[in-house]
Amino acid sequence: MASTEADSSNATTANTENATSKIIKIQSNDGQIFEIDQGVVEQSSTIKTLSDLMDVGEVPIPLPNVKASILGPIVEFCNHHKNDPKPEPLDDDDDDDPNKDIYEPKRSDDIIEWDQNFIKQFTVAEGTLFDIIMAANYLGIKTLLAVGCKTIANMVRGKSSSEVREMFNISYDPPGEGLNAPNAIEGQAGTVPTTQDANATGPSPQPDPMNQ
Amino acid sequence: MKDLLVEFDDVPDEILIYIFKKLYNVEVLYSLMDVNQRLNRIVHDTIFTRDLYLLEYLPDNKTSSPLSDSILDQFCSKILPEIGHRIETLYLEQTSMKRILHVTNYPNLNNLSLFHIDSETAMALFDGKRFSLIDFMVELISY
Repeated sequence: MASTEADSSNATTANTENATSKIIKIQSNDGQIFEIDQGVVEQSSTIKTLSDLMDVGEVPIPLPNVKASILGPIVEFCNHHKNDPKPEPLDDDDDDDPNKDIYEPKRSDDIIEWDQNFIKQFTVAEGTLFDIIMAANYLGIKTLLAVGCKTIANMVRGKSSSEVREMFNISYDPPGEGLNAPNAIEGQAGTVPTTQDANATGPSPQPDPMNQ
Repeated sequence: MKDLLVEFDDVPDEILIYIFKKLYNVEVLYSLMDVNQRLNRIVHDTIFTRDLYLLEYLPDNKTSSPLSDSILDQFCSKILPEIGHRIETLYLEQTSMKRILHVTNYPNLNNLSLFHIDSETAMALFDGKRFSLIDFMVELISY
């Protein structure tokens, strides 16, 4: 008996539903397994790549850099955001634009309320705020990475260097010690600033890590 | 358990730079210069020192005001003398521009923009003068 158009349509719908409802398993480095659907997978470039490369079936995808106490909330975050419209790609790497600092408003005040409440469970004192940021970076979840980084930026804004040191428990290593010791600086390649004025003065050029 | 804590020192430079790029350069330099040697090295990079908008952004991110005295003092006493040779673009406003321009040399300055400047001051400063800047802009106060 020949198939009808209705049968073809039903088959297509079923295939689509199967694709979006496909469940895969991911495993944290401490052995806990989480089930996620394709809507969550699409938000993580790392998981998406691994699931495309591996014939996963029932085998969980191992995520050796993420522990369960962080992966669980990440799954919750992605489940909440899986129906969000896809954002416009941002060109954050356009550092050659000399006007970037003025014409590109630096927004860190646009974290939506749900995300603000979500990120509050992670703190600097417990180390979990940097945990979630590094996990988001490893998993390639740009929206979560942005939320975490904007949160840190908001904490830094307006603080003096001593307040930043205290807030993040950073040890102070004065100039003249370690990398800045005179015998460490000698022989280091450094960028020599171009100058139009032969009498121009300035401090000794620092090695520029971004241009090495 | 300390070994489970991710501390600031564990965060790679690329992530710190991503965080700092959420701030304006004036904010990065004020808050992070001399925190420690590592952050000092990061914030000395040209992405944070090449273009400086030395005004303070208001919360709406669209309008600006002069830098507060404490921030201006920090820039003039410490930050600008250290990075002046890296600056290529400066945006200044009337009340602080003289102090900022006098505090150090800017041998690589190519672009200078002056905001909120009245025409009398502009005339007194620039009438008959020559500059070898690539781009020079003056925004006069309109009454």
